[in-house]
Amino acid sequence: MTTPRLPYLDDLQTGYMLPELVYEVTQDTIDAYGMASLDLNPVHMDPGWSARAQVFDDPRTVAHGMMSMSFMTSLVYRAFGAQADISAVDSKFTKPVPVGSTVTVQGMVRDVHPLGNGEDFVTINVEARDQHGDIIGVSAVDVRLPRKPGVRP
Amino acid sequence: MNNAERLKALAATAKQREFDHDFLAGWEGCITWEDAPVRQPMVYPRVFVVEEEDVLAYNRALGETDPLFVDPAYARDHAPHGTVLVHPVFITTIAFWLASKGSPMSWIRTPGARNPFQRIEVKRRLEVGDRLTMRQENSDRFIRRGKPYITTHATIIDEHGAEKAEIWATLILPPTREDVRRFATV
Repeated sequence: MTTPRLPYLDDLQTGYMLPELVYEVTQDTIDAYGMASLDLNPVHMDPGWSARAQVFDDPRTVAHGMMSMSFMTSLVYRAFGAQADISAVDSKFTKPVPVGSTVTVQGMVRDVHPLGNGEDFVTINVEARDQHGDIIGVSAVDVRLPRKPGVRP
Repeated sequence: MNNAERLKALAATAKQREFDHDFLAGWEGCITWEDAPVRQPMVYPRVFVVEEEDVLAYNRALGETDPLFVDPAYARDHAPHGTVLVHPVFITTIAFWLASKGSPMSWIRTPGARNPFQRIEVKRRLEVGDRLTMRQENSDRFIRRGKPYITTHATIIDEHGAEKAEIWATLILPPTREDVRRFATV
């Protein structure tokens, strides 16, 4: 297993689609994320409490919004490799993700910013949908990328 | 086995083991929407040391596959600083660890809270070995479509005083202590 090669900014055009990712959201997935993030809110981590409290009018636990944000960010890493220099992630969560959901994450290069000052970046629009096709979260992810050698800034 | 015991059994890192697994215990000490101090900056005195096991736990929880994320031996030979790489949303772990109960940001641990939107800006990538502190203020408190929102702005600072990242975290909270009590004691 090796890391993917980081693309050059000049390799990407607006509309470029990144390979999609699919996540199965089980209680084990939620538990692992909750422990790793130290967010032990019972709406995620306690099925009994969730059934009683029904914060989202649903007896099931729900995934962390920050896990959805992480999934949407990871789309960029799977496509460009872990060395991708992500400078900003702006996320909105639009629908709860109950345990048992399947989340599909898709992304597209929205803008290319050839600043020419070493801070060149692309902005990727990311959408995450559940198994019903409903959008559960959207993000804009800024990624600084190197320029292709010999390309004029 | 109650839920706190179940979570304690899942703990795999030193920070996870020492963390309070009973989320609802001490809920009375949580800052609520109606009494959260706004635009009062403070510096959190605790230091979050980024350990390799913390980063691996986060990356593995996401199902990452790049060896720079999940294989310390590979990272030693191929990563820029010889350590596994940190995911930017790992800032969540730092915030939850630093924002202990009773702190001005403790409302991120409010039972019944909802997460509508977040923004993270990374100035310098976090690294294993970083010794991080947090400067934070609740930057806004507002009502939108009848729901009470609160936004905090936190800056993560390394041991050299360099700003590494900023987060604008927004939650919808139960508005009053009585509302929190209903969720905490359900």
